[in-house]
Parts: sequence; C-alpha cells; structure tokens
Amino acid sequence: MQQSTSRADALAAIPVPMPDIRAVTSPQGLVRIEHPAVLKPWLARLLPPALSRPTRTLELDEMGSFVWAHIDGIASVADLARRVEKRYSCLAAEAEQAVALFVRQLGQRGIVALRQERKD
Amino acid sequence: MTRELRWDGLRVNIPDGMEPAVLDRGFVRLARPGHVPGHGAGSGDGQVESLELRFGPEKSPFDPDRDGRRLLKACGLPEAAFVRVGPSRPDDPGFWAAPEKAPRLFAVRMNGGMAALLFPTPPPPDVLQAAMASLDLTPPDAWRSWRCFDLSFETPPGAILVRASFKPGSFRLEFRLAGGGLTFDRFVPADVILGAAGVEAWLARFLGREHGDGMTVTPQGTGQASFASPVPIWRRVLSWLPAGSERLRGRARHDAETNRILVVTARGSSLSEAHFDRVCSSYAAVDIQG
Repeated sequence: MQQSTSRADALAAIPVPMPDIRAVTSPQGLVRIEHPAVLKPWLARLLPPALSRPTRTLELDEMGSFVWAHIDGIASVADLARRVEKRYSCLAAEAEQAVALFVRQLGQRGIVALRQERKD
Repeated sequence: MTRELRWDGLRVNIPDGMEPAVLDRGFVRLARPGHVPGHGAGSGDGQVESLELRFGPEKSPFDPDRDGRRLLKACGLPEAAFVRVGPSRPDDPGFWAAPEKAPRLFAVRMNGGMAALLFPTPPPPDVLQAAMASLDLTPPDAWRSWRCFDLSFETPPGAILVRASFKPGSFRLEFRLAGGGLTFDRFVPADVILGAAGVEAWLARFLGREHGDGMTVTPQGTGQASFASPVPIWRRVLSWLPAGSERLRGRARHDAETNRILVVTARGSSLSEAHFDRVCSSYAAVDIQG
C-alpha cells in the first residue's frame, strides 16, 4: 500500500541527477537541461529498443539554476532549501515549499531520482 | 526569541517551536512543523503540539449556556460544559474552561470581543499563562496592527479581511473597506524579480497584468514609486463629484535590506489621503520571526 510521504521524509530526500541528462550553463548563469522524454510504460514497451527516446529541453530560471548548481547527490531537499533561504532572504517555509516543488518537477521529468538516507 | 502574531485584531505570542499553520478571518491555528491535526494529541515530552484560537467581536455578552454550546461544538467538545474559572487578569470579567475535569478549551472576554483557545490536551500551566498574558483583541472599528511571518502593517477602522494568500514568494492580503478595498502584496526575492530593471519598470508590468493598461507610475525616490488609475475626462470636468469605487492608487517600495518588494493598492475613495499615507508608511518587512 502506498504511504503518503511525510514532510520530514520529503525534506530528507536527496535528489540525484540521472546519468542520461545533459546540463549546460549559459554565460548569464542560467541552466538548460536536455533529458530523454518520459514515456508512458505501455508506449515505451511498444517502441523498438534500438530507437532512442525523443529529447526534451528544460530552461531553468535564476532560482532553478541556483538550486540545480547545488544538487550533487549529497545535499538533501532541506539542505537545498536552507541555501535558497540564505541566498534569497526568504522565509524557511517558502524556501522549503519552492525547493520541494522544484525537485518534484525535476523528478516527474526524469531528470533526478530521489534517494532516502537510511537511518541505522 | 518571543514571536508575536497580530492577526485580524488578535494579538498573541507564538509558543516556542510553533508557527502559524492556518490564518483565517477570526481563526488561527499555531502548530509545530509537521504536526497533523488529529494525529497524536501530544509529543509525549510535555510539549504542546498545537493551539487553535477563535476570536471576534461580541454581538452580546458571552453566555456559556447559549454561545458556549456553539463554541464547544465547533471545538469538538459537544458533550462538555463551560465552567467559570475566574478572572485571569484584574481587568477582565473572568474566563471559562472546558471540560471541567481536564480543561483544554478556554474562553475569555476582552475589549468587546471573545477569544477561545483550544489545546489538543490540557496545557501545562506556564504555557497557558504565557498565552493568556500575551492575548489582546482590537475591535474592528479601530486601527488594527497586523504582524505575520515577515509582514507588518496597519489597517484603518472598518477594514475587513477578505482573502489571505501565502504562496512561496508571493503573499497577498485583501481587505474590504466601505466603498472600496485595500490590498497588500509582498514579493521575494526582489533582486531576482527586478533583475536589472528598476522598481518603476517592474511595477508597470505588474500593474498591466493586474489592472490592464493605462495606470500611471510615478517615481518617488530610490526604489519607490506611486501609481494611480487614469481619471476619466468627465470626472475632470465634474471634479466636485465624489470618486467612485473604480479609482485605484497605490505605492510600491523595493526594500533592498530585506530583499522584498512591497505594494499597497487602494481601491475606491473611502480612504482619506491621511489614512492612505498612514497605511503606506506602516507597511514594512520585518525581521523574520523565529
């Protein structure tokens, strides 16, 4: 049974860039990410294995580029939110919501995977 | 650090570890981050997980048998009854608690209004005392001071909260006034939103999206600008007629120190120039609470 993610779990998740994406930073510091399109499972099964998936491009704004620059497979969503809070002088709750939403959108596009740290 | 919440006429100190979870007209819920209402009444370490406040002006003196029944039902205690506990302060006529055996709902009259505090479990005496000592109500026919999150401002007598929106980066509070309205906007981070443009250029684009073309933007010094809707020709000719509710005016300010943009918009003519000045000058971004 799928359980809803608690707020603590969501903040503790660590976004990890997927291996088949390509990120380019412009001279203005903005990031453009090229990534394979996410296909519905039934469509992916129909396509010949040799056929590569279409590529999609995502242009990040300044805040998105800032967060992306700090996604290193080690920093959690909470860590990223604290950086945003400090850099942009916003409220902690605002930073957490904005970063969590941004990371979720990256996840939905297949750009990052989320890893949960085990608590031994 | 003591953090004070001023909301819709209520003033109360936010208990340590809590933050505003719900802010509505006549209702506030303070809770620890991550607390889910109805899931676990207590943390087990004596800490209070949440506090709900219901408040507003009294239509008539509080009657525990009549008004109390509605309040108890609204707070999930339909079978309980209020008992009078006695004055909590020298200047108030007394307060009530429910249920009698393990009180966690407290109702108090003050300044022509009523405030009810609901805890999930009977609170420690020091927590209750601190909340009661910081409690105050300002009637709606007086100037009210507001302080929530990083905002601080005043509303004139008769202003009624219509809508409050706290989206990340964009806060908006709308009030209704006789014959018009008042809106407070706050945007963060200002440096990203403005980019290389000044506040006047950003304001012109913002007003175009909100109110269409035609608004006049006038610089008022570094990082500040005022704006107003165009005056129709017939109003210029018949200037002695009172302005209608369609009139818009306001001010925007880029607060570089807090990296915020603050905008006040007044609609209609019920707000005098003096009151409008007071509203605009009182609007500030304050030190982040907590």
